[in-house]
Amino acid sequence: MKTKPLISTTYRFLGLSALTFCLVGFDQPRPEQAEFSSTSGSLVVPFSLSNDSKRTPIIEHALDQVDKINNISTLLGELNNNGTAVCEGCQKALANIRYMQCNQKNSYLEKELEEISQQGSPLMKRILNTPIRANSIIKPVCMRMSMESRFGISSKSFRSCEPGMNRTGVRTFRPCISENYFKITQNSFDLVSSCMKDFMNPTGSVNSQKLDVRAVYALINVESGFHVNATSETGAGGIGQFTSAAIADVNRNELSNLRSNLETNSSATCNHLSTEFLAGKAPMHSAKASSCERISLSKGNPVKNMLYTFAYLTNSRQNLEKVIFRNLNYVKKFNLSPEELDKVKRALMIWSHNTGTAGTWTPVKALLNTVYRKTKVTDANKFINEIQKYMQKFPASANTSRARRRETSNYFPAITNTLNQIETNAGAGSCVN
Amino acid sequence: MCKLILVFTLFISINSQAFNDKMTFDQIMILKNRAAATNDLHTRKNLLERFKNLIFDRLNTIELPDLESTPDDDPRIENYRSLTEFDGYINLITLKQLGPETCEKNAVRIQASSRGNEGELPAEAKLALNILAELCQ
Repeated sequence: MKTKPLISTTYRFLGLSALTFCLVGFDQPRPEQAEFSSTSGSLVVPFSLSNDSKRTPIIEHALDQVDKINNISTLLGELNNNGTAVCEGCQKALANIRYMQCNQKNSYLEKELEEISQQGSPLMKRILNTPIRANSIIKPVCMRMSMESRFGISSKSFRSCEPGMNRTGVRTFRPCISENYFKITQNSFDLVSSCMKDFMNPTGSVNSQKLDVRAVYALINVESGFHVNATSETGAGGIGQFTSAAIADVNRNELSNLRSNLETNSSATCNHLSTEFLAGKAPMHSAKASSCERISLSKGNPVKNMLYTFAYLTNSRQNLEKVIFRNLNYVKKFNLSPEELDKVKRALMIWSHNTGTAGTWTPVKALLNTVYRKTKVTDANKFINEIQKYMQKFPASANTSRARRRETSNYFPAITNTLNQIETNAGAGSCVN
Repeated sequence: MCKLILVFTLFISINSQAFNDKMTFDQIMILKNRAAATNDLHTRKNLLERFKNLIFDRLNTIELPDLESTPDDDPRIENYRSLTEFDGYINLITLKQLGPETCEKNAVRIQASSRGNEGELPAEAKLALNILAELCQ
C-alpha cells in the first residue's frame, strides 16, 4: 500500500517535560522494563459477549445470541479484574487521563458516538460502554498521546461524513478527544489487536505478538494518530490511511482468510468481529465514491479500518516470508537469533505499509545480494539502518521519483523515532503492556 | 515461424522497459520453451525452481560500481534494481497445480505486491506475469 503521510506537524505533548531523544532499536526493551510484565494478561480478548467460555457457534443470526446475554456485571467484572491485578501504575495513569472540552467546531462526532452507545450494534455498544482497561495491550496514556500529538488542534486534515453520505465531505477540524471518542478508539484497538494477534503471527511467542501489536500501534500513530476520520490530500483515509488500491488488495487477498480466522477463534467476541464488521463481498469498498466507508463511525469504524490494517500488514508479511525468509537462498544470509530475525521481519512488514511489498523486497534483496554477498547479517539494527540507504538506491518501480525515494527511506525511522518519543515522554516504559 | 516471430516480438516489447540483462533473457526463453513442451506439473515446478536459482546466482554475480559515488539513475544501478524487483515477483509464483485457478491466484499476488500509487503495473511485474502464463496453463 502506498500511503502519503499527512503534512508533518510539530509534536506537542501537553504538560510534559522537555523532550529527550534517544534513538534506540525499535524492539529494545526500556531499561526499566527488562521484560514484559504479566504474562499474556494484556493480550486476552478484553471483553466478552458471552458468559459461556465455550465458543459460540457461528449461525446465521449469531447476534441474536448476544442479545440474550443479560449478566452485564459479570462481563464488567471480568474486565476489571484483568485491569487491576496486573499493573498498578497503569491504573494510576488511566485515572489521570483528562479529556477535552468540546466546542462547536470539533464536536461533530459526539452525537453519533452517543447514538452508537445507545443504539449501535451489540459489539459497538460494548466497545463504547466498557471501561478502558488499565492494562490494555497499548497503554491508554500512549494512545492519548498519539491522538493529541499527531495533529494539532487546528489541523484540518480530516473529513466528515453526514448520515447517508458515501463520499467524504468537506475538510474539518480534528475531532474533540472526548471520553467517548477516546474510549471507542482505545477499546477498538484493544479488541482488534487481541483478536488479530494470532492471525498476524500464528507461531509467534506471546512477547513476539506483543511486539507486533506495538509495531502496528507505532505505524497507526504516524499514519493517522488514531483519528478515525484522518484523510490525506490523496484520499487515503481512516486509521490505517487506506488507499483504494490497498483496500482492493485486502478484499481480494486477505478477506477470506481473515474471516475464517476470526470465525474459528476460541473467543466468541472475535467471532462477532467477523460477522458484524466483515460481512458481504467487500465490507469496505475500494471506490473513491465509497470513501466514507474508510472513516465513518456509522460504517463500523474505527474497528473496520483497524481490521483492514492488520490484514494488509499480514499479507505483506506473508509475501516477504515467501520471497525472502522462507527462500532457502536468502535464509542462509542471516545469522541472527530468532528474536533479532523477528525484529527484521517486523520492520519490513511495517515498512511495506508505505512502500508496497515489492517496494520493500527490492532494496532488501539488493542489500542482501551486494553487501551480504559473501558475509551474513549478524546485526539486526545495522541491517535495518542499511535498508534505509538502499531504499534510496534500489527502490521498486513505483517508488523511483525523488520524493518517493526520500519518503520511503524515512518511513520506518520516522515511526521508530516517534514511538521512542512517546515512550520516553509517557513515562510508562514501553507502550505495550 | 510467423507465430514464433510474433511471440518473440511481443516478448521483447514487454521487456522493453525492464532490465537489460542478456543472460537472464536467454534463461527466460529457455524456461518458456521447455515449459511449453510439457504439461507435467512436476517438470514445470523444477523448471521454475531452476530459474529462480539462476536469477539468484545472477544477482550475486553482477558487479556494481561504487554506490556512494554513482548516481541513482546510472544504467547499471537501474538494471540491477529492475532485475531484483523481477526476482521478487518470480519468487512469489507457486505452482500447486496447473490451470486457470493457479494462474489467477499467482497473478493476483504479483499484481497486489507491485501496487504503485493506483498506477500502471511495472514492466518487471508484466514480465513475471508473462512467464506465469506459460507455466500455469
